[in-house]
Amino acid sequence: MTQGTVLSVEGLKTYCFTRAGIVKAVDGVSFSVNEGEALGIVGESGCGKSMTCASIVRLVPQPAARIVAGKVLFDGEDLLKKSESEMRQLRGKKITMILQDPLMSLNPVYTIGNQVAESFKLHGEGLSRSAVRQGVIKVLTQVNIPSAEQRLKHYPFQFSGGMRQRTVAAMALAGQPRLLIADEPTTSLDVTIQDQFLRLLREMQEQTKMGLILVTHDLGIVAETCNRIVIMYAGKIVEAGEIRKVFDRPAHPYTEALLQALPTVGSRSKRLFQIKGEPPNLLNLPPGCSFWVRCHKTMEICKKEVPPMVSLEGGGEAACWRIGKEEG
Amino acid sequence: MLANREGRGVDMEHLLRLQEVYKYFPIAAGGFLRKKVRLLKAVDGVSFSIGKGTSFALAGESGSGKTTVARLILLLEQLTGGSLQFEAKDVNRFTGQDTVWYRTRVQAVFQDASSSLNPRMRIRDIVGEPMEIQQAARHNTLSKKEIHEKTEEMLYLVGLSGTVMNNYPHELSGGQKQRVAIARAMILNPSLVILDEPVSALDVSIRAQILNLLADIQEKLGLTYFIIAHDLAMLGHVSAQIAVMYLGRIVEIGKTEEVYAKPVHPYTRALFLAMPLPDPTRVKNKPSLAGEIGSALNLPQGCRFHPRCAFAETRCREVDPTLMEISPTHQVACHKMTA
Repeated sequence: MTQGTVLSVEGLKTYCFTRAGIVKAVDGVSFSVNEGEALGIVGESGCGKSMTCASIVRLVPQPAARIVAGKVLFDGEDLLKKSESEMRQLRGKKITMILQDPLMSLNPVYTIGNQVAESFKLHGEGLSRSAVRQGVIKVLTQVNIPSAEQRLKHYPFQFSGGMRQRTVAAMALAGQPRLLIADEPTTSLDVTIQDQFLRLLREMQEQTKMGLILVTHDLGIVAETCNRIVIMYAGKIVEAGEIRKVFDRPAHPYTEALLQALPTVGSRSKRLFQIKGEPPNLLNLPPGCSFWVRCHKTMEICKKEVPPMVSLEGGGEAACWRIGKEEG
Repeated sequence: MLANREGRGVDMEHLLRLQEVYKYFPIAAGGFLRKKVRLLKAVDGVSFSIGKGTSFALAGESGSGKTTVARLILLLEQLTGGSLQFEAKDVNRFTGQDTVWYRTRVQAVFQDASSSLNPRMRIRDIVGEPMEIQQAARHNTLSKKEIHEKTEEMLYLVGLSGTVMNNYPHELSGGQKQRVAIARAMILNPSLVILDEPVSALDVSIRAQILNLLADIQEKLGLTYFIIAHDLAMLGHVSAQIAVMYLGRIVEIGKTEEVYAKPVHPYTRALFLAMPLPDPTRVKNKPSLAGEIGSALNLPQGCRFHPRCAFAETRCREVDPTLMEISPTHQVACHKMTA
C-alpha cells in the first residue's frame, strides 16, 4: 500500500437544525484515507454515515443541516474553506460518488453514451468529439459493459440493475478520481452481481491508487473489500482500526454485538445474539455514552460521562469505558 | 428448542405440496390484426412439499421466480398448470367458502413494512382488520371488544405493548413496523406463514431480534414457515429445507444441512461464493459467477444455467437436466453432478 493521505477528516460536526431541536448527525468524527486504501464506514440507519460523506463533498441538505466545525483535508487543503465554484471543480472529478440506487443517479431521458460523455466533457479539457466517444467506450469496457459501442445509444431502462450501477461507476471513474465515495453501492443488487461489482471496485482501485470510502451496513462486504473500518453509532465513531484486528478482537461492545448478531451458516438452531432496543433517536440521546441503554456491559460511569477515544493495544482505537479495565 | 424445525425424513406430514406447478404470463409481442403473444415462464415445473411445523426456504436471484411461487401459494395468481395441495385438499377444486377458509390458514409478511401497512390506519385497526373481514365473510359476530382483546394479545405476542394501539405506522420504527406486520399475519391463527424477505429491509441489530421473534412464535404456535430470501446465511439459520431456484426451475433442493455442507449445483456453489462473509481472512480469487440472470421470456436451450456456468459442455447446451437424487433428502438438476 502506498502511503500519502488523500483525505483526512478532523473533528467534523454536522448538525441539523430542526423545529424539534438540534440533531447532531455527525458529532466530532475524525478519520483518514490513504492512497490505494479502502475504508469501510459501518453503522445502522441514522448513525450519520451518509451525512459524513455528504459533508466531505459539502452536499449536506442546507439550510436544515450545517457543517458547524471541523476540517476536511483533501490532499492537504481544507475543503470547508473552499468556494462553491472550487468545490464544483473537485466534485465528479477528483472526488466522485456512487450512490445506492443507480436509477437515481442516471437521467432516464438521456442515452448512456450521452451521460457518460458528460463527465468527460465537464472535466476533460477541450476533448474532440471522437476522443470523448473513444473515452466513453473505454471506461464502459473497463467496467465490463458488454459490446459497449452498441450500448451507447441505449437508455438506462434498457440496462439491468448491475449494468446501471457499473455505468455509474464508469462515470465516477472517468475523471480519474483521487477519492471515490461509495454509499451503499450494492444494496439494490443481487449477491452474484454484488460480488462482480465489488471485485470491479477493487480492481479499479488497484489500478488507479485512489482512496475509497465504502459506506455500508453489511460487515461481510467490509470484510471483503476494505483495509480499515470505522464503526459509527449515533453520530460518533465508536471503534476504528485495521480490518482483521477489529473482526478478530472487537473492543467496543457495539462492534462485538454487531458481529455476534449476524446469522451464519453454522448458527442454525442457536438463538441469535440480540442487541436490545432500537437505534437511538438523535434528538433524545441518553447522557453519557450513547450506546449504554442497549449495551450488554454497561457500568455506572457509562450513564454519566461520554467515553473518550483511546488507542488500543495492538492498533486501532475505540471509545468505551471498559477499555483498559479488566475484562468483565 | 428448535426440534420442531427439523425435517423428519420423507414420511413427515405435509402441510403444503406443490406438484409440477407452472405459471406462464402472456406478454404482448406486437402484431396489429393478429396479436402475437410470447410466454414469460416465471415458474416452470416446480414441485416441493413443506412438512407441518417446519421451515422451508426458497433462495435465488431476482427474476428466478421465487416471489411468483409465493403469490401462487397465496392464491394471488392462478396456476397455469400443476396442482397445489394444502392439508391434502386440492386448491384447484376450491369453492368460494374453501378459499375463505384457506385465506385464514395462510398468511404473509412482506419485506418492507412501511409499504405493506396502510399509513392512514391506526395500528389496532391494521392488526384487527383481518379478523373483522373474516367475521364479515362468515356472518359471525365477534364483538368489537373481543377483536380488541385479540389484537392486544397479538401485539403482546410480537413484543409490542398495547400503547402503540392508537399510533399510526409512521410513528413507529422499522423494527416495530415489522412486528406489527407479523402480528397482523398471526391474528387469524394461521398454519402457514409466508415470509418474503422478512428482515432484509431492517438494520443489523434489529434483524436478530425479528429472527428470534419469528423462531419463538413458530415454536409457541406450531407454525409452518415458507421463507423467501436471497441471504443464504439467514436462510441457513432459519430453515430445515431449502430449494434454490433459477429461471423458474428448482436446481437444487434438500435438507438445509446437507445442501450447506455440500452444495452440488454450480449455481448454488456460486451463490455461496458470492455471499459476503464477515471474515477478512477469506481469500476470493475467482469471481463467483459471470454474467447476469437470463430472461424468462427467452429461455436458453438445454440447461437454463449453462450460459453462466463455468462447467458447461455440449450436453448442457442441448438437454435440460432434471432433478436427480444425491441422497434421499438432497436432489440436484445438473448433468455434471459430482457427488
